Amino acid sequence: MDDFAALARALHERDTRFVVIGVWGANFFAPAAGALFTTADRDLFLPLDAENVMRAWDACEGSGLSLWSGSEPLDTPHDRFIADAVVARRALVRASRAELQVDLSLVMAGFDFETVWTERRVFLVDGVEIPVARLAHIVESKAAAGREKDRLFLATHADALRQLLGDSKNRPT
Amino acid sequence: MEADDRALKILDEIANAPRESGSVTLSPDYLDAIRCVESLPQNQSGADKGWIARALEQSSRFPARAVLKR
Repeated sequence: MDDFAALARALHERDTRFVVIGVWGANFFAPAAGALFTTADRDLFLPLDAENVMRAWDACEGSGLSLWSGSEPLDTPHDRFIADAVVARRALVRASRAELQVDLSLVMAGFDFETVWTERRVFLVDGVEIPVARLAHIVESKAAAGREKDRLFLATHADALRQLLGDSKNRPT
Repeated sequence: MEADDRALKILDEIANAPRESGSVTLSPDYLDAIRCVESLPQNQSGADKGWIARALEQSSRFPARAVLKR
């Protein structure tokens, strides 16, 4: 089974609420391989809920991923005290293993979790349901964040869609 | 207690780190393209997306198989 699908299954088994966002989320909407973006990170958006955060940590560690806060391992034990502190600060926690890096984010620029959750799409990978934010939400969030890497993605993504959709319109039937 | 203080210090540093910003205005053409892509049958809930990870894995392995000829 795909590593990310296995993690998603572990998250579902613990009733964790999460939505895939970021470049990896945008990839789910790619109309063809030419519009896929290589990225090492899988970004998951979580609600501001310490219990949910702890379930996500448990799923990650159960899947063999280590938890990191900045360049330091997340303080152990990962108890409610630490979860409350992470939620209060909207701090990002990274879960990683050799070839799988997952960012557990409590922030999505321009959006609250419930809006993104309500309009999510649910795709399948190896039979596992993967909740993914709407492409419009992902792109609008990147536009709102406006970091250099977001600008680069938006420019490249817009160009890839223009070429692919233009190609399909011009294809002989 | 000391470990908790250290953990909170690290979390504070991350939360207070300066963030690059400057929102981007999306063009009407791009927004139309996104609406078009979202409405594709293969992008509705229930669609199988296993091909994505396989395609990315294949493309990342391709350069690794290259052999220097000269």
